[in-house]
Amino acid sequence: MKRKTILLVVVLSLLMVVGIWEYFKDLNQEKSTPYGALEVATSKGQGTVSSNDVYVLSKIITGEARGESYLGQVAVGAVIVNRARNANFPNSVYGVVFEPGAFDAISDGQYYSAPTAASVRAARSAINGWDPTGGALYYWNPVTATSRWIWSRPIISRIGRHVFAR
Amino acid sequence: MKLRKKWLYLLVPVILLGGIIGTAVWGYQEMGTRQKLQNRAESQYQKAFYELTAHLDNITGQLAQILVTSSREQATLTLATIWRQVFAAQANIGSLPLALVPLAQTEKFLDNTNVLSSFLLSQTAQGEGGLSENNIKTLENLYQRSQDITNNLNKLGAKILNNELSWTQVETAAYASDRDLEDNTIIDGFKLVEKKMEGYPELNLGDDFAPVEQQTKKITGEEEISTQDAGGKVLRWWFKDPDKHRAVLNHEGGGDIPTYGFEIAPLEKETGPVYIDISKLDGTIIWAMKARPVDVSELELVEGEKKAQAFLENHDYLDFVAVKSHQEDNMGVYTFVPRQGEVLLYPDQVKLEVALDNGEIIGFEATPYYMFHRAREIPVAEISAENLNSFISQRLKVEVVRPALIVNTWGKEALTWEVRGSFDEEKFAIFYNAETGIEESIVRITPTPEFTFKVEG
Repeated sequence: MKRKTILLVVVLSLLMVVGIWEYFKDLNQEKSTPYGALEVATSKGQGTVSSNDVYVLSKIITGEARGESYLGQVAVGAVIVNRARNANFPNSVYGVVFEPGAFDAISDGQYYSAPTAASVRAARSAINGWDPTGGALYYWNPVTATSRWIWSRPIISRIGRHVFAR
Repeated sequence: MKLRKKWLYLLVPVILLGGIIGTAVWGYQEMGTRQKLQNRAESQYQKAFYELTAHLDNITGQLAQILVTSSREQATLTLATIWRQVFAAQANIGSLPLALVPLAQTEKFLDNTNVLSSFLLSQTAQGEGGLSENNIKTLENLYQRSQDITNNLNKLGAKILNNELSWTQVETAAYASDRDLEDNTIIDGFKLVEKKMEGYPELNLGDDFAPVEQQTKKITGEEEISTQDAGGKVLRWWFKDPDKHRAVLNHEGGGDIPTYGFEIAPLEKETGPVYIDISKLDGTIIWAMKARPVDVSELELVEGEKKAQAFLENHDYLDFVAVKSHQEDNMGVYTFVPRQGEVLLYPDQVKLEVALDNGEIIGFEATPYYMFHRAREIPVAEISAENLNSFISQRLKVEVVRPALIVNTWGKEALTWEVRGSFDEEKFAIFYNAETGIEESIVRITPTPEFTFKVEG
């Protein structure tokens, strides 16, 4: 009896060590997604773009407005486009999106996965001038936002889980 | 028998110990990698900050130079340098983790300098000599502000060096609550810069710069229609069978135009929800979107344009001319403008998205038309179409010439001759001022190259 329990304990602890090792290995791989790994993502459709802006915008929309309606996605895109056209922010979609600390999806790496087909359409609409927010420059989720300063901005609209402000 | 048991009792803790040591080694390696990445981020921030300080220092010096120079060549070169340095300084600010620090006035100063220097540059290039009294005054004001910012940034730079402050700490603080942000020396340094800028009076760049807001219709007033009326209007405007659909109030817009935003769910055989925004003031539909995928193209771009034109006519947008049409994926995007007489009114745009699988309208955007359209007093063109030829470059192969009202680089409306032409593979639309013949604007309309990328489901 004792021999069997000891054997069981040995096997279990071996499995545990191997399991921990595998887990950490996977964790490493997930964080460093090289560009080539894009082929691994499921892609039922293909998007054709005529400029980098739509691509960058669609990725940030996918990362920031996950689970939002199409309207909410266009709204997020419109805020970024409004910023690019505003003198107080960087002058391009690239510049706005990669401003350090500006978007959670960049900081936590969600940006680096493939965009959804809906977000590509939303990005195109936003760049072409559709703006459900009426000129907003900021948005945040009132439930999860931690910055106190952002609440000083005048709120002009609320779509889905985000409020939009000037 | 007993020996074997002892050996087994040793095995388990040895394996577990091995696991712990393995984890510790891995953790140490990870820490090393993380430290390297943090160092790299830190050095990029440091570089951006020092470049910012250097650029502002240069701008201050150049502004002083332009106030004392009497040579036109020197003035032109100095203005060009200021313009370039301001652009670089703006980029530097965009690379620092200052997203949550309000820097509106500082950015406004940079923007004012940018606008004024490029305007003066274009004037100098056109041969209009000398700076006016007003310009000199404005440049002096800008010089004072620039000096102030440079001084403060230099002080902050000294503090950063003396106390070995870290930018990555600023970044981490920015992700946490901003209680930490308030105690951060670097953030305080920038807040001081901003505070000093707020202390200066608002700068008026002069009459040459008319902000476009001054020319919009007043979008204020008593709210006139109720939610119910709005819902009914929206349904009747979009659907052939309005009674079968239901409009649900989704959001209220308090931006440029006060609006009700409705969402209409699709019926059984229909696609995607339709979102429509309607003005609270007079019940005009501002924009509409239908959310549905478009997987194939059956129609040509021009056929889509016809559908778009038909839609406009059915909704009382009569006598509109298509000025831009391009295809994106399987969607045709068209920009239409109205006419006053023969003159195309570019500021009063309406845009449409047409699904090229069945010609259905899936997007309508009329915010600029709603905000800017009005009966205007358009002067008679001083330069006739025939005389225009002397202003056009020989290298341009002209295709179309027509009168157009546009908003110029400085935000002012101007009557122009629109000349569409090509040079080699490049297509252009050039707008010549109808009074002076000066090129107000060149727009390159060559279709941009496409690349495909993978998309998730």
